[in-house]
Amino acid sequence: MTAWVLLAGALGCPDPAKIEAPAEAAVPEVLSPLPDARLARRLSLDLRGVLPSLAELDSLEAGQVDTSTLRDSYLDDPRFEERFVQLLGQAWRTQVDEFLVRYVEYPELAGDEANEYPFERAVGEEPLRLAARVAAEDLPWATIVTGDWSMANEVTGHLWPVDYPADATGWQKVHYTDGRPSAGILATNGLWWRYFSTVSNYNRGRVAAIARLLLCEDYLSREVSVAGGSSVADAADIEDHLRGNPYCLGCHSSIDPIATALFGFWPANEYSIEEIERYHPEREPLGPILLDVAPSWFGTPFTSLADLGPLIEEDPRFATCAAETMASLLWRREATLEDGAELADVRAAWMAEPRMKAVMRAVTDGAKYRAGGFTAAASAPDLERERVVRQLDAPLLASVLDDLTGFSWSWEGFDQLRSDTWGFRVLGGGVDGLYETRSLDVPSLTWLLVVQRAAESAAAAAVDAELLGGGDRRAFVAVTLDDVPGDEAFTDELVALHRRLYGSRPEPSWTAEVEALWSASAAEADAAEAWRTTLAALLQDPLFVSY
Amino acid sequence: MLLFLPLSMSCGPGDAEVAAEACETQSAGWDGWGRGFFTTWCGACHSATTADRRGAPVGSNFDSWDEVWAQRARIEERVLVDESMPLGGGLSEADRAELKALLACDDDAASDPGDESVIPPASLDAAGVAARADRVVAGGIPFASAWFDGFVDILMAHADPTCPEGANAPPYAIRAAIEGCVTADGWMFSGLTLRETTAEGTGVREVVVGDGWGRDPEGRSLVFGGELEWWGDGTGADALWESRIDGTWGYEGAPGWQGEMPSLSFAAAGAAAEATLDGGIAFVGAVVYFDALRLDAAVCPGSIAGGGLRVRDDAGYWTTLTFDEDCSACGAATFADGSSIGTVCVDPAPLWASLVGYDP
Repeated sequence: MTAWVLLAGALGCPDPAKIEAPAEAAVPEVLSPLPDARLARRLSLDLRGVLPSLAELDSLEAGQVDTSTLRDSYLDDPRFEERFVQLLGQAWRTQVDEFLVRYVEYPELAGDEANEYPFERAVGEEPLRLAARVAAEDLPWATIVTGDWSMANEVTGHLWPVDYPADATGWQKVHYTDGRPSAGILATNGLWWRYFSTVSNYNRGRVAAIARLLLCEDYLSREVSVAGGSSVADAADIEDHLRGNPYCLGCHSSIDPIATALFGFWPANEYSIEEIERYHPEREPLGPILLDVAPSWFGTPFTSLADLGPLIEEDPRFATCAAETMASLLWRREATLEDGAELADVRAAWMAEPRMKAVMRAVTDGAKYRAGGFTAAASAPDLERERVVRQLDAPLLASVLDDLTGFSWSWEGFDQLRSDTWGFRVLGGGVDGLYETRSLDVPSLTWLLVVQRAAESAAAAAVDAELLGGGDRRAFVAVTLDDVPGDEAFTDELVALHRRLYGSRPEPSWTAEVEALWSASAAEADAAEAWRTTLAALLQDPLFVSY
Repeated sequence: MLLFLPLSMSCGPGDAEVAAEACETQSAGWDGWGRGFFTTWCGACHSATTADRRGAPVGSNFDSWDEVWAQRARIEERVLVDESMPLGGGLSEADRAELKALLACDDDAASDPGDESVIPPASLDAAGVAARADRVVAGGIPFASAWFDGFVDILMAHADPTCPEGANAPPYAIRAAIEGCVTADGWMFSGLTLRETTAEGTGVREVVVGDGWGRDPEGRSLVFGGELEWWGDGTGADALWESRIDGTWGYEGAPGWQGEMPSLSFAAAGAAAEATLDGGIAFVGAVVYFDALRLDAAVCPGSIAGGGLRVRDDAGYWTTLTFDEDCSACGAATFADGSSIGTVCVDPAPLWASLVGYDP
């Protein structure tokens, strides 16, 4: 049983034994669903990266909309695209803090250290932005491997060979101008800078990345025996072994023929900017020559990188992997053999409509996503496997706090909750793409400290901007610094905060406790400080940092 | 790879009760699991379309459920009993269990093997192929030594005693800060080149590794990323030579090829009156790959003695030109899908112009 399971009970979540599964859904008996308002909160956080608005909660409470309607509106929300980037980034792991080429090697960027973080994200998010645009525009998901366009922002748009508009800012659709074939993410610098190949690796590592990201087939996890093989310690013999040793051929019989497609990205010097930022079409014929194998996709011949996308689209593993990847991301755990029935529903949705929004609708319709607790029938393996409570990781926390309070934690140009070079992404439970590959699903000491600091700063920002500065209301609804406990405006504010932050109405005992906290703080300082203290406390509540 | 419940397969009822029972534990069938499994682990060799079977018996293909079903006994023996396939092992216990269950299903779980990719029609006709070939060939043979000499000329003309270091004296192992340095006359350099010279035969082999860039006061780029290598031995009619350029070497302010900022992976070798050209050259708008193209004054003076040339279209598909052996500098051109696009002729004069008198 995870800590969150215990926490769910401690937080006053509904007693699983008293909740009946909806009669119309084929809900496994071991799971009980979240209350609608909390489910709306989960959907909003997962699909938009922000909390539901009070108006949305009002509509839900009044029965004017249901959670599925809200979910569909979230999928069409402008913030969906940004959230999709962060979500898929956990699976594709391209938001790393280091590439072979550093920002200082570009004269346009070298003079200012504040350019480092924007440069690294502009590179690493390119394939994610492409995928997110495909998802947001509800294009066929295979566009991610067949499209003739990519995405660039004002950093890479002016550095790389793309047709980024001269007067544009932000992420824009672009086309590379260096002759690379149409192959979606497979023809992006961002993906291949992250999954680079040394000169002598001949793109094989990149094929492993393609297989993992798009087929969910992880060559590196295979339990391959080399007991019958001879030593490959001598580098000069490696190529011979890869072509003739049966223990190597088990993987390389399929890896090497695919690797032939990527020689336009094969650099003569992997540290040279010109060599790795430009596509080299004249090297395409080298693949079959250097690897001594004909191009093929698991036995189906091809002639160009442009063929790879359609072949992937036709491969049934692509559909399976799309369903499995998104389910894992939204379930916040690896999909397992026990998930077969629900994954089949997701895949069926894909077969009917091969678009990512259809997949996300299917996943979020499922009982595993909507679970908020366990029934008495749950076994120990059920308790261990299912995630009925999610935890805000640092990037999602950053998104929520930015929307709620306008607070953005930055230092020397580094986003403190979305990077690690000078930030706290991993300490706050996030994925760095290299060493941490799954977001934290249980509280840790460093996560608590990150939450504490972020909550304190966000609360201060909100009070300073809204209550002292008279700015637009975001965290607060209508309270002023003149209102005190017992005033109607004060009470209304607490109710609104509880609903907005936690998705439910407060109990009287909670209101009393918060009023006491506010009063104690006000007695020592003033009303502004009392609201800073109160809001910071509310933002650290388990009901806020879980969903 | 995970498993899905049946979407289109019909796993059972089997012929035998035991088989039916085993089949019921197979959760996904051919479409949901089997096809992906056999593609992943077997397709590279056991496919009707694979170009290299690596010893897999002819006809032993697993592209469809029918083929798997017909060979199920053999598959079970090799994979589940003696574990001699797939080569090198690596199957998880879960996959082995699923395969065992799948093979216990009856044979009506057939499925489409899937469509194969279709190469788009050729976008270049014979004239288009010839035009692109001639554009690249017009620059002559890119000799590494000549490129390096031009590179040094730039450095010698603009480097000062401190930027970049080493530029003013052989062997030109230059070095500039990664953030770049600026010369007195306004040139900026970043990165380094290393030059290694070794004796070979009675000649000298030179290798230059570059990773850097520069910018002139007008903002035009100089790039040097990759490797240059050349060797020469003998003089006059006895001269032998080799040359290789890998990478991106160019200067936007230079005339000719270097001004095109080309990307190359090109090698050539030969003697005073002959050469063999291999590898690719990319300009913006024209990409060519030399397939052992032969120049030989003794066989075809002033023309092409053999070999081939490939020309790339904008979508990434290649047309292969194989030169006739009649010294016409013409040959049959074949598109990537195997279709003929006619006869293409190339003007070999620029290649000869650069070869005659070349002295590494």
